[in-house]
Amino acid sequence: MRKTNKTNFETAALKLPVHKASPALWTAIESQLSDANVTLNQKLPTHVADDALWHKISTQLPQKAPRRFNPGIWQAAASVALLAALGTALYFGKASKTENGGSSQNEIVLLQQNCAQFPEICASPDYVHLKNLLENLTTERNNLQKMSLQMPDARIKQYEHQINSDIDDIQHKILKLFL
Amino acid sequence: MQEQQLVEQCRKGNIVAQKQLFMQYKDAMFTTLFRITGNKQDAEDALQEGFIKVYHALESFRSESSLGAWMKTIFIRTGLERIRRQIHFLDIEAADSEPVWFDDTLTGEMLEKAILKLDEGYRTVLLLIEVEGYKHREVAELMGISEGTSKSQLARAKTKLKTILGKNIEHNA
Repeated sequence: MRKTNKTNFETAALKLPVHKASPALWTAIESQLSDANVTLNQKLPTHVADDALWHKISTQLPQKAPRRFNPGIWQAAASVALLAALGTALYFGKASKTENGGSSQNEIVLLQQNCAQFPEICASPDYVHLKNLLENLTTERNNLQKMSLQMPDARIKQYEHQINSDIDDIQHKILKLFL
Repeated sequence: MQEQQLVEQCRKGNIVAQKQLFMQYKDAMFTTLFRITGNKQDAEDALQEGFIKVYHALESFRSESSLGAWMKTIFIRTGLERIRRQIHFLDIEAADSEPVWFDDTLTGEMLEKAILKLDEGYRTVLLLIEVEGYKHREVAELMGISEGTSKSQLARAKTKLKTILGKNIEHNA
């Protein structure tokens, strides 16, 4: 096995083909670090990861395990019923949106009902963020629908479809928060 | 949220806790991955892949080490898998990189630029030992090499780094 002590290290350095580089440079770096009382890790810059990566990651997260039968089964059953009502409303709300341009006010009301049941979830930053997004998008879609009636345009329709798709995505995420 | 609570909530699939874990560790892990892979795109891909592994592996986390240290091992393995095919343990004579130009003040950015100029094998060992604080035994296990190779690669990495930095000093003199 090759011996790798300091002597070998210095010998290896001497074998380098090119340089008369400052022989104690690494020592200088270490000394600079120790003078400043910092580690190499602290000396090197930190890189900031893109927050948007969360979106990609969140679609591949492990799902919550199904609830087990326990004394709180009635509360669970009530929650499931409420969520089912919300899910149904979201489904039919989506159908009605495409047919007659209905608003998402029903979904918002149902979300508020859900929040009475699960206040801690509705107080979470994720929920607040998603709910604000949902409200903004529904307002934007309503405006587009009005505009579309006055001035039919394929591009407006296309944008409206895009917003509907975003709304569905957000509703799905909101549902996941409660599951 | 305390670490243990955060882990418990993540295990239960609480998306808020999972996001908090991501926000809490993303920059530290990304920085490590950027240094290992040497580029932003690979680092981002490895970050994404690493977090998915972490969420799935949290069931096996036993608090024998800190959560951060446990996660870092997963991310380092993920980063290494990404560059594994590129790693070659070069002979001293074969190793020569383009110089990195800098002024007389050695900043963290300059030092990092020089480290990124090292070949993957040298760079990874140097980073794991000198930056991340792993022992040669641990590096050997992580990289699937012998302790002896880890030690010799570190020595050569330092020599090479001297060379890269020294060229600049000579150039600026």
